[in-house]
Amino acid sequence: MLTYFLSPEYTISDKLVQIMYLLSGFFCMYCGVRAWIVKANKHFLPTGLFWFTLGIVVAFGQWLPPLASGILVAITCIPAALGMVKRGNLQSPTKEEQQKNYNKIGMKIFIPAFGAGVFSILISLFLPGWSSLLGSLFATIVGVILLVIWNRENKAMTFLEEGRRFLDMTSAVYIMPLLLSCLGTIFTNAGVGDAFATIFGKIIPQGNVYIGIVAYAVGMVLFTMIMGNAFAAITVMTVGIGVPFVISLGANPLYMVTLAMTCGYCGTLLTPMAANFNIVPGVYLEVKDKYSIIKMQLIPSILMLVFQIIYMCLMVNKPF
Amino acid sequence: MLSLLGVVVVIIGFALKLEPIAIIVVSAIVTAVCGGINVVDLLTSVGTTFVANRNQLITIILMILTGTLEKNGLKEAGAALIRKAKGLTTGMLIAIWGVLDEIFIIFKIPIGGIPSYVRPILMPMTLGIIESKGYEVAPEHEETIKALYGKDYNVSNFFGQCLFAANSSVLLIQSTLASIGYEVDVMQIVAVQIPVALFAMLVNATQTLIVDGRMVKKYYPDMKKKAA
Repeated sequence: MLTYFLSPEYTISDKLVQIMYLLSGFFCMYCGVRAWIVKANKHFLPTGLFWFTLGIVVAFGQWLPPLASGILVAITCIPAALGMVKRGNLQSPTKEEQQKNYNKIGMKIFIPAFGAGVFSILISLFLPGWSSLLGSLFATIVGVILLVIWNRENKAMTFLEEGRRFLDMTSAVYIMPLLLSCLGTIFTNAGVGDAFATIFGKIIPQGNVYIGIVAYAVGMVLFTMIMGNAFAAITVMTVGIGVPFVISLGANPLYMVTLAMTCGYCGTLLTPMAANFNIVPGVYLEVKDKYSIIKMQLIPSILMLVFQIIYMCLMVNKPF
Repeated sequence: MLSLLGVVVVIIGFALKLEPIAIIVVSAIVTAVCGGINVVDLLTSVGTTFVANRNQLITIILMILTGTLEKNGLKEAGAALIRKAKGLTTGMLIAIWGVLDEIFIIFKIPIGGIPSYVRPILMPMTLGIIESKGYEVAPEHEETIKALYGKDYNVSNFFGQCLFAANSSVLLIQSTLASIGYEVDVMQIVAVQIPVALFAMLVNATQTLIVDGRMVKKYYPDMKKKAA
C-alpha cells in the first residue's frame, strides 16, 4: 500500500481518490464499531458487521485480491439479505437547535452545501485529468473547516455522529445499486444479455437502426419496471440490444448508452418496485391512494421517453 | 436460455415484495449455477465489479458534512428563502419547488426530499396559501398536492442527476461504455444529458401548473376575483 502512494506511476489524482476511499471506508468501519458499542437495537451485531466489512472493501479494495473483496462483499450481503441492518437510535437535531444555529450562521450555510458541485466544476475546468470525484473530498474538507469556524460547538464527534445518523438512515439499501451492478456483471458473464438478444432478435428486425433505438429505449423502460432500478437494466440491455441492434450499425455509442440510461428512468417512474421513490414518499405524506404518485408520473414518463427517442434518432449519425 | 432463470427470480422476488438484497443474492447464485460459473469465479467477479464501481459510494464522505449542515440550520435557511417569495399560487410554489429540486440535485446540494422538506415545511406553506384566501382546502386538492410533490422530486431527481459528474448514474454509464470498448469522459455524458434535464424541468413545471390550476378552478372558482 505504501509503495502505491510512493510510486510515481500513479497520478496525484489517483492517489487522492484512494485516500478518499480510505477515509470513506474508515468512516464505515467507525459506524460498524459504534453500532457494536452503542447496542441501539437487538440486531446491533449484524448491523455492525455490515458496516464494518463494507468499510474494509471500500477502504482497501484497491489492494485486496478480487477474490478476497468478493468474499467480504458476500459477508456484507448476509445481514443485509436477512434484513438485519437496522437503524440506530440517533435522533435528528431538534428544531430549536437548528433554529439557534441558523440564527448564528444564517444564509452562509448554503456555501458549504453547494461545495461538492462547485468543486467538481472547478476541477473539470482547471485541473484537466483530475477525477471530478475529488470535488466531494475537497467540499467535505472545506465544509468541515467552515462549519468549525462558524460554530465552535461543531466538534469532531459532531461530524462523525451526524454523518453516522445519515448513513444509518440509508441502511442496507445504500449498497443496492452497487449490488445490482454486480448482478449485471454476473448476468453478462452467464450470457443473460445474449439470451435476451436471441429472444429480442426474433422479435425486432435487425438492420434498421431506428427500430433498434425504439427497442433499446422501450426495452430499458420495461426491464427497469421489472427490476425497479435502471442500474441493472443498463448493462444487460446494452450488451443484449444496444450493441447488436444499434451501436454495431454505426450509431454514436456515447449518445445511445447515455440516453438509454435516462429512458430507463421513465420505467422507474412507473413501477411500484421502485418503492423508495414511488411508494415510501407517499407514506410520509399520508396519501390516501398509495399509487397516486405513480399515476401522476405517467404523463411525464411518456413525454420524457418520446423526447429521448427522438433525441437518440437525431444523434444517431453524430461522429463519436 | 437457462441463464434467464436469474431474471425470473428477480421478477418473482420483487412481485412478492421480498427483501431486495436477498433477491439480488439469490438471483446471483441461481444465475451462476445455471450459467456454469463456479464459486471462485462468482466471488472474484463480484469483488472486481464491486471495487471497480465503489465510486458509487462516494456520498459516504459527503455524509460527514451533510449531517452537520442540517444540525447547523440548512433546513431553516431553505425555508427562510422560500418564504421571501410572496403572492404565490399553490401551483407556482409546487412548480418552483420542482425546479429548485432539480437545481439542488444537479449541484448535489443536500436539500429536498419528501420527509425532510416537503412534509414539515412545504405542505403547510402550500395549504396555507389556500387558507389565507379564506377557503377550506378541498380533500381532492390536498391529495393532488401530495402527488404533485411526490412526482416533482422524482422527475427532478431522475433527469437532473446525470448533470452531476460524480453521480453514480453517470459513472455507471461511463463504466458500461468502457465495458463495450468506448472510453469517454464523464463531462461528455453530462453534456449529452443537458437537453434531457431542461426538457424534464419544463414538463415537470407545466404539468404542475396545469393540474393544480384545474383543481383551483374546480374548487375555488371565485379565487381570482377575490384577489382582484
